[in-house]
Amino acid sequence: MKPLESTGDRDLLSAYTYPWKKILIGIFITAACALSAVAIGSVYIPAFSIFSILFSKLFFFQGSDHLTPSSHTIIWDIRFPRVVLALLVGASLGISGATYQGLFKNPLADPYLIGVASGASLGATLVFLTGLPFTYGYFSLLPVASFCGGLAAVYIAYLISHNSGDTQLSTLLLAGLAIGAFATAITGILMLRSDPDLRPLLSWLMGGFIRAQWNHSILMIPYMAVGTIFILGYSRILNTMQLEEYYSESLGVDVEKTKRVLIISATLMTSAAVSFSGLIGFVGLIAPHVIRLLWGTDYRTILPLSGIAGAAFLVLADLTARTIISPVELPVGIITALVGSPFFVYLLLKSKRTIENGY
Amino acid sequence: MLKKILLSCSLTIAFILATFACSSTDPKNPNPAAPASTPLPAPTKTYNQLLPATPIAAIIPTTVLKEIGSADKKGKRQNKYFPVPTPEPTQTLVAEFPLTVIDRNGEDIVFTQPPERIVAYDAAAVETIFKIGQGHRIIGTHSWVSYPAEVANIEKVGDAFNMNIERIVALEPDLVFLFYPTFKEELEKAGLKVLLLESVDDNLMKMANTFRIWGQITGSPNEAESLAKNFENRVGKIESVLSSYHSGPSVFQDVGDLWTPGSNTLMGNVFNLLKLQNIANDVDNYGQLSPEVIIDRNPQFIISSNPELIYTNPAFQNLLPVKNKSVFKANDDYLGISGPRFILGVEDLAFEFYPGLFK
Repeated sequence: MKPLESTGDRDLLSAYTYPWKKILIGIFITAACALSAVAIGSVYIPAFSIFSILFSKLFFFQGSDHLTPSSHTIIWDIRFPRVVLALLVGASLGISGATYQGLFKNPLADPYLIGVASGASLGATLVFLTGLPFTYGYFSLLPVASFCGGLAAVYIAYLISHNSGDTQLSTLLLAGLAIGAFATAITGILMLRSDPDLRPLLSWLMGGFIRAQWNHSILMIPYMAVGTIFILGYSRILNTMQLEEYYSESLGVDVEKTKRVLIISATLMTSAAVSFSGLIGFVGLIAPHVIRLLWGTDYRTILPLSGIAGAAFLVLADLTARTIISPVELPVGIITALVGSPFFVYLLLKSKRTIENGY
Repeated sequence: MLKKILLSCSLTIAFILATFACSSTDPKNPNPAAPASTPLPAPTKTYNQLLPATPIAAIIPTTVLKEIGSADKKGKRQNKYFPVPTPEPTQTLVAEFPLTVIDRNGEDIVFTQPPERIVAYDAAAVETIFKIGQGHRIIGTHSWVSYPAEVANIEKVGDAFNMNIERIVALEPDLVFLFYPTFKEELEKAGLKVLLLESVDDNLMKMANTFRIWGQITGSPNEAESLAKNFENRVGKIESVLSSYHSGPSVFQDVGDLWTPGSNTLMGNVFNLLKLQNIANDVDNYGQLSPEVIIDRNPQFIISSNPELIYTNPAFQNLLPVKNKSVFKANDDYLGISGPRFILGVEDLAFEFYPGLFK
């Protein structure tokens, strides 16, 4: 057994077992949430028809003859793509939020920390103001622009902080904040100087899944898969990164490479999420904290379970957003903050661990 | 460990149950479209608008809609299918001063003479004042006002949501007209005379009264009277053509990202006039309608500011207007501003939806 398996946890020398059980239970609960989210909506559709449609699509048989075409469309073309996209975005935000919190050793870090959000907003605003049509057939320009904007902002911040072969994380944080503030200011100027109709832009910036389509999820999956594989692969090393950098190096960790891989992966996932769902706050911030408060500080536990918690939370938040004042929808960000913050405070009060001795 | 799992499970279930309880779906009555249109009250001659004021929609001010595809229509559209003669006023009206106008809060605003230097912070007011030949009195407006062409020479003192109060004070206006109350107090504190008329959003016919009020204020009551009469006659013409019909087809208007006007909006009033069944009649003010609700209520007509987004959404492929490629692109230049050209937009809709009746 290696002498230092996990850091930060109280029982340093006890053997670590990968949390398969928790992950399986988490996936089970998330799947249950997702199925209820497909079953519930402003329009009443009997619950059994969800399974009928799901099985007919999975196994290619005609089992849904008794359904009206409109129920079929509502389930398969509206609710399913929406729930799947919410799952993917929630998981991406949860995992990248946990990564940033671990990397920056900062409990306030969220996926938008180093300028992704502001860069993405600027990219989207530029598309709006150039007057280009947003769609060419089934190809939509807006997600691409916001994705590029988010990546560009983080890349510039990274270049600034990367001097003499060494990336200063505190510099990256500050550079990200500066780039973000600058991009936000440019966005503000552009919006003030622009044509009157900002409604689609504002609505996009507020975030939500009202536009969700199957091809969004399909486009989202590669980014999410690549990001998740790299981040989960680095979860053990992320534990050692909780030490001072020279201790991590003395344990044989390539600190520079770790930073690079984790920043790129988390940024890819966040940018993809932002480009299809806009800016949804709070998910990436609280999902890792909830896991940490429940099950400790080992990133091998936190990373996968944050993804699962983020996915379940966002699916339920979106379900609430589209049903609570039916037939009208609320922005999902309102729900994530409204439901998320009291729950988070409850956990903070309940937990025996506190910020001081737990983190 | 078990306790934690139980805790998270019970929280999830509580969340789902809460959502179930919140979703106000009534399977027995899935289509709460309105019955026949409510009769509009006859226009009154007094300038005391008795009905309570409705708040302006914060996110969707009707005056900020973008100019879309209007240039090609403008030339040929004038009086194309409604040759309503401008009525000769039976008696010549004389402007009487001092004049008392009752504002949105029911307070008296007294004019001892027609204001010479008006800052008109409202596209509809600017259009109306120019239409009755008093455009030379306007010395300031906001930057989103673009009609008539003379507006180019008028100083812009902010955009629709931001106001350069210092600049307005420096212009020394003897009247500032607003369409929303945000800056009213500050302007009054600066010693300016501020007028905020009651919103016309709850009753289409109030628009004629607003024309008359402007005629009185600017000392040209005859021009305003003929403008108001023209408006009333053209509305009356539509009413009489449709009077023998109980209810028309169902309609959904998308003003961007599935935001749609409910019954207590100006567009809701227009739909009532045209006997169209607005599928969003149960929406309060403006709201973002759930896509599944749109499919379930299956509108026969769709009016959209961006038909391409409706056509390319896979979920909408079975809707009749999408199948027929007949999503109607509304002229937001007319219908977005409750001024003299509004009736042209209404007639456009009448012509589009009842091609046999209006020729």
